[in-house]
Amino acid sequence: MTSKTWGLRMSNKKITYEELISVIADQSGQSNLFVHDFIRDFVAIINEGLESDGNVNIAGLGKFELQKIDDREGYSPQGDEKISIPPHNKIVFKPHKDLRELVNAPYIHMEPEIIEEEGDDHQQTLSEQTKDQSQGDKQEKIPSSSLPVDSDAEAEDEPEKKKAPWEEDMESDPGSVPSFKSRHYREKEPKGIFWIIAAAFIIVLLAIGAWYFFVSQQDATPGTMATESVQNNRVPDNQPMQPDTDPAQNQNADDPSGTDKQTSANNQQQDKTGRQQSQQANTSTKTVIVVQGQTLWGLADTQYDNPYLWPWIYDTNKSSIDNPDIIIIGQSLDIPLRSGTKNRLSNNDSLQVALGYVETYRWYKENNLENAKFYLYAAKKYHSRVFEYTDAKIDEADLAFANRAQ
Amino acid sequence: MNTNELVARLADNWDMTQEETRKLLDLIVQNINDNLARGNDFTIPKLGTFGTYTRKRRRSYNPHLKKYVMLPPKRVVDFTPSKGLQDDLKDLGIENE
Repeated sequence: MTSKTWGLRMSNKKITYEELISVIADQSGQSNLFVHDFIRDFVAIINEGLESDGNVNIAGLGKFELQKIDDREGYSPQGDEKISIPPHNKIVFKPHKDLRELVNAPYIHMEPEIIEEEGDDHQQTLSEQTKDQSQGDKQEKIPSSSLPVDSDAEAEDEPEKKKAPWEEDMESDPGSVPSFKSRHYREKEPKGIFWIIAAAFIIVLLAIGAWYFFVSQQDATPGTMATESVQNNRVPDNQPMQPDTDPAQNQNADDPSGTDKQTSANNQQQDKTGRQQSQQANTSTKTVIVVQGQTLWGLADTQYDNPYLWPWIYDTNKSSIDNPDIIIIGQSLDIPLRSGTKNRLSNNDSLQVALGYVETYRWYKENNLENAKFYLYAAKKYHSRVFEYTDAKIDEADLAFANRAQ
Repeated sequence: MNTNELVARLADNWDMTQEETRKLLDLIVQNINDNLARGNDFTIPKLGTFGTYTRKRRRSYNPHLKKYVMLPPKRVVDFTPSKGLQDDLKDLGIENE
């Protein structure tokens, strides 16, 4: 990497040469070894081309060129002695237009915008903290919605931080100093995705608040039948990814509502996923009637003191629940009880929870919802070999993502 | 040297048809483009490292319009040749004083 880009490139993902080769090998049907040798030859020919012609043009990619650099003076690496750098050649790669546009895709709709120049009396302005009111009005911060949400592109802070270049420019430019008008970038497609996410987050917070409110009123109002109690299982967006309570530390809680019927050795699993039935044998369940304000999340919290185990309940009741985010008041749910000791989730229970997450993933995937892969990730977290126990169709990219767990 | 020459030499070296080598070369190029589009860095031995970085926005001047402009951020390709390549070609065609 050139030194100027070192810091900027540290955040890039690194692909190994082996990975690159195997992808090409797969796509072409050739062996890895063949592709490896082929590329080596390819590079050698580029070398020859540069040597003989001084440039190599590859269609659809770009041009490799030798550029002459004149001799110049510089300093030794220690920085003390003056040395003369002799003339030499530099190899450059100039991508073609298509590649340039492909790479600039995130910013492709942004165009340079002209800065209108103001009169001389505005000279002191920009970077200085103390400005009069009129300056402050003229100088608006660039609204973040006009730029893509990208940590690399410093947005609002730049005008204030760039003191020196501004002043340098001011000195060399005897004319008037430009000040910012409102938006500096025209965009063809305004991107309000940031606001959509912020609004969704606020709605989620309100939903949580409302849920708590209803729970506290449970004794007073039993609620009406056949009203849907929609719960937002996707509490923070990264909820399934961080089951921060290790499956190992859970405590049993008492059940405030519902009847206490225990059925042992249930075969509740409709064998939709074709997994082995023996998995769920010997588990006792308790039946609960859903009341207003309850959610799978809440039920799991109450029953297991760990709301993250809700997919277990979902899975157990696959026949009566379709959308894992919606349970209906008055419907009857079987809550599987934990085997094992009070404080630990038994291995089989972990597996059940993981399978529940796989089911959730499947439902999300079938209904084309985003974040499906996070549920797969959570499944893996609860049981590392869960995928061996289900033959549910799993998307490869999601599987790769999920396998990063643990 | 252009693409045709490259393909011809490769086909010759590997005893493949022009069409075949062109296809394979195409795949290589596609993969390079793909990775660059995703912002991944990768290295090809004896050639160099490819990657991307994002230029921050900056003020510039348009002499035609005689106005200052604000250039938007831009993501560009970065290529650093590997040592072997550099050394080999460094002194090519440089005449001694």
